[in-house]
Amino acid sequence: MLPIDKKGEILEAHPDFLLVISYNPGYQSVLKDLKHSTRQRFVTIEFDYPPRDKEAQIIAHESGVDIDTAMDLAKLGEKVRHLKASGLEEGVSTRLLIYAGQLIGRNIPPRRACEVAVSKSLTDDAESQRAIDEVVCTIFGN
Amino acid sequence: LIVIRNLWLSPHLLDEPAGAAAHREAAELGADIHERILAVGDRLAESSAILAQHFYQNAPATWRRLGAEGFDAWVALGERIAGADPISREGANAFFSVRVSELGEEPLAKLTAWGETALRVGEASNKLAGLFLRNTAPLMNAATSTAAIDAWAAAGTGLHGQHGWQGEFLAQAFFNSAAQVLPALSPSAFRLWAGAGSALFPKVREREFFAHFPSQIGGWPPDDQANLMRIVIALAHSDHRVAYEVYRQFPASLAPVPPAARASLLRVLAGGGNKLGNAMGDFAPVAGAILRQIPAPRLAASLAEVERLAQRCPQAVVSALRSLPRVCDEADAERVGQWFAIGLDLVSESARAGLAYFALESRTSINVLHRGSTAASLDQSQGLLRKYLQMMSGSPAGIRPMERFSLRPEIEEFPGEREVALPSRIDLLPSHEENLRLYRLLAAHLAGRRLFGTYAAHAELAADPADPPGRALFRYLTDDRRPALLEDLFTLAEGVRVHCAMSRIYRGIASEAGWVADKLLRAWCEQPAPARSRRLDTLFALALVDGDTVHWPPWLDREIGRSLLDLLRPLRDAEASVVDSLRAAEAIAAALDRAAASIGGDLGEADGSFYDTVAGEMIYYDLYDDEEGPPPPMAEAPAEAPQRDDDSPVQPRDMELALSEETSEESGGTPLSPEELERLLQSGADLRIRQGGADEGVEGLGLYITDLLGKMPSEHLEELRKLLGDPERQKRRPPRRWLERSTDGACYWYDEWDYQIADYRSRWCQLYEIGLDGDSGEFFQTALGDHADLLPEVRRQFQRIRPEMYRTVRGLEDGDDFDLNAAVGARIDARAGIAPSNRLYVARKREERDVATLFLVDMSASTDEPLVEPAGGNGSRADGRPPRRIIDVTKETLAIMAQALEEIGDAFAIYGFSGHGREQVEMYRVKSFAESLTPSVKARLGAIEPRRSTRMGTALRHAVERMAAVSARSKHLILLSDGFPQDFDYGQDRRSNLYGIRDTAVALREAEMAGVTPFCITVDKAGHDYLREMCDENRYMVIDDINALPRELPKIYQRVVRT
Repeated sequence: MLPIDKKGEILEAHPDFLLVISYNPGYQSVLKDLKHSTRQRFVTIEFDYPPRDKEAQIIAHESGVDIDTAMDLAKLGEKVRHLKASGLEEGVSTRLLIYAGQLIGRNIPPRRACEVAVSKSLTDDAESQRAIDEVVCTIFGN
Repeated sequence: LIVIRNLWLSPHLLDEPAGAAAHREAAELGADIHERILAVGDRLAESSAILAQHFYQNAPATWRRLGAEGFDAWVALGERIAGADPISREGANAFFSVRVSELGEEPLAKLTAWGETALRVGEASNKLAGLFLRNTAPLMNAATSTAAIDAWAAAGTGLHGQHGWQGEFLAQAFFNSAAQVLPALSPSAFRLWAGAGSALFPKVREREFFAHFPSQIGGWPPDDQANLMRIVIALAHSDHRVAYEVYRQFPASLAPVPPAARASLLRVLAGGGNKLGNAMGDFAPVAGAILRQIPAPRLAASLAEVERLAQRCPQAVVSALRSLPRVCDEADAERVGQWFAIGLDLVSESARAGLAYFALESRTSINVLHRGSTAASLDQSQGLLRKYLQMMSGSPAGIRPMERFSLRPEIEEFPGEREVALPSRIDLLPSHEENLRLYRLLAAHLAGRRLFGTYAAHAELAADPADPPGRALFRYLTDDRRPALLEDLFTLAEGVRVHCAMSRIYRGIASEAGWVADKLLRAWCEQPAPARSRRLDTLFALALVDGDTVHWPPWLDREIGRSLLDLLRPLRDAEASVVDSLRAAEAIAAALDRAAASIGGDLGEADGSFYDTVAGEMIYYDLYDDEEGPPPPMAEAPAEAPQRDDDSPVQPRDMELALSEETSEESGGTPLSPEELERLLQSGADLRIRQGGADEGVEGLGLYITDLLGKMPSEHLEELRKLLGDPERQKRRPPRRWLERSTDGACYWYDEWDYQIADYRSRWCQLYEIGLDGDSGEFFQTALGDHADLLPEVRRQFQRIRPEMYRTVRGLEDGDDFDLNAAVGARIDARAGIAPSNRLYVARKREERDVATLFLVDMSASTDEPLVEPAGGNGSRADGRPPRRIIDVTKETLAIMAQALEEIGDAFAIYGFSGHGREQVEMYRVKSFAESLTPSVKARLGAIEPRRSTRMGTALRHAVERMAAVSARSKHLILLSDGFPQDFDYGQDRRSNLYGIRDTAVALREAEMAGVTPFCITVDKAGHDYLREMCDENRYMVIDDINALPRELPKIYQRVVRT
């Protein structure tokens, strides 16, 4: 039931009505955090980064790379996220990993693909970029 | 007359062969001449019968050689000498005893010159003239020139006039050394040599100096001899001990140096004069060894550079010479030239800075040397590697520099501290990128140790429950009841296991290892017989590719190598665990020991250096004390080890000789002695014999060992089984030097700021991190009891910090409350017809509390001062306990802080520091960030006691290093001290505190740059004076009444950490 004061109207929800909201906790949370009273009107499903095998499936599905490469990309994601808060503002998103997968799918060498899609997109700090590149090397080989 | 003649022409003379021969010869000259000779003899006998006898023995030969006229001149001169007043019969004896036949060309002229010289000496002292004649007589032959004799006499006579009446003794000692020195030294150096003796007198007694002529300089060209004497004379003016040391030892030390280099070196040093300083004393005995480390083709150019330096700044010469081997090692010829050029510029600006530069002590010096180098250094890649390690292993890592490169990083004693060791510099491969790749492989390996549970074994290692987690492995490996090689072999075995585990997961690792093994094996294969650590690294590299390489090291028998690889192969299995690695290492160690025992020697006791290498210690070995005597000069040394057929047996002796060529300081290893090498070869042979089938009798040892032993030949299995099963299998080994030092904890090097050279002194201070042995925890509880009223107060204060962790956020569209200002503004806007903002709300946002604080406690001796109690008591407390000291109050304060901080959950660490000199800065770990406030931490807090000095800068740098591994948003360092920084060698002038204050100021600034906010608290009332120089006004606090410290520190903490 939603009263609209100005119009003096009361809207009633459809029996199938479902409100789904999503937000990133911690991220710009000062402006976007829910009020506790609002928050408590919801049931909550927490989404973290998917586990490695799931993320690999997502990457494979979305980018079309084979599952082994997707596994490696997911592994990379996992490793890079370890650096969150001590070098990186934000962990690498599955989206970026998919981009990298798409590039690899178009015969771009994995190192180059990860460089442009992952390390350079994540940070401007040269040292962190280089460190991520090193991890890429370790996973994909030189 | 007859009576006189009978006195000297006695039967005694005539019975002697020489006398009889002379008598016969004289008779043969004819009766007239014989009588003439006898008449002279009679004349001489009036003063001395013996003189006449000396004369008579040589007279006939002289007559024949010189003729009548010459004979008369000879006699006349002899008589003048004999007749001098007071009579110098001794000299005349010597004069007449010289055989004219041996004098070569123009004998009379030579004799005359000699005699006249003696008479001139006699003018100073007849005794000297006698000594001169007596000592030079045996040298009167064709080889000795008149000029030399003249110069010799002049030099000796010159001494007579020096040092007053003692000059006589100097001159006597000088003349007495003629037999040894006159033929060896060139005449132009006589006077300098005499001068050196005189300059050292009376500190060095004349006999001491003149009798100990360094025989090695005999073969030197005149200029070299003269230059050596000039160096000694110059040094004698500043320090006679150094000068004498140089005189005695330098020539021997220079023996192996090629003549050209020696000449150049002596020229340089002689030019330096008395400005060389005391450093020469240390340099002299090792000079030859140092020069031999410089590649022969570069020696001349390098010395030419030093010569240029000598003209500008002689003080820096010795430092530069000592630095030369390392400089040549780490930079090519061109860069060495640049290094000198920049140093020369620096010298003209500041001599002190130049000194530090040429001693490779300043940071500029190291930077210049490495500029353009392809080496990868930890300084530059630290951040990168840290991030890499964190990503790969999932937890933050601190990096400790390791002196030497090894493919097998050290086992950490406290893995819970999250610290790993990496070499401070890698310069093995031609390009920077390649060297960096090596770093990455090492870092990956270290991450692998974390991921695959290297430190996870506890029960199997009989871990001590009181130990911090993960320490069991270190304890196990370094227990001196276990084989000395165990730790090294374990890093080898575990390396294989971890590497294979990593390779299964990371494609990059597998290919990388192949690349590294190929590169390194290729490089290392060129070394005929590497040091032990390198040997094990080579084995590891082989294991990385499972022996599949074309670069098989020449010193390793293929079959032995293969059997070792076989032993390591089970570790490649996915199921293998750290315990398996340990067992494999033990099996190899036992096999090696067995083999050693079988050839009748104990691997350990035979040679201490074996342990040193195993333990990764730097080696000192005597470069001279060699059975073969001093090594040949470089020019003659073979450029390469002698080639030999693959089939011929390896001669250990040959290998050692070839190896002693390269003794760079950086390699840190020592060549194997022939005995050791033989033993290793023998042990290898022993392993080979064991190749064969399994034995059922070993099942009791567990499946894995059985598998392992299955690779070994059956005939030794039973013995080996016994060896493995019997804990008393070996004699107790001598304690390793390394182990002894382990009480000192891990060692770190830090730079130090020297304001006088306006540069960092590179790797200047050595800091040891030491764990404190705690008390029973009594102090902590007592302190809390004594301050029972204070603790709740502090707790309340800290509770109040919590609300402060909320931050008001303004300008929201939605929030807890209206922002009145914004609302009024919006209302005004609306009235004014402007579209009002709808951001009218404020909210209180909780901030994540993410702080880490390190308390650094000054444990200097001055904290031992007892306090005057505020109540005006007599010092001791009411309950009879001894009076409180500064340190006690500090400890009590920390106890309260620790308790309160633990309750609110802020991360904190406590370290104490003290030390003695720059090589012994001590940091005591009371509580690390990783630990919580356990009973053992409380006990360690109680064990904080006053020690020695206060080298604050180094301690601060280490504290900052410790905080680098902590991932907190805001990091604080609170320094608690009772006085200014002070240490006996904190700056050259002990009385000045300026050096220490400036260094500490720089260290504090470094801390801020590293993101650590420092705060200094001192109880020294004079603290304002120097703290103002060291840091900002709001970064320090002076507490006048130390008893207020327990109350003040929590307040300070609140204020500091909040702002």
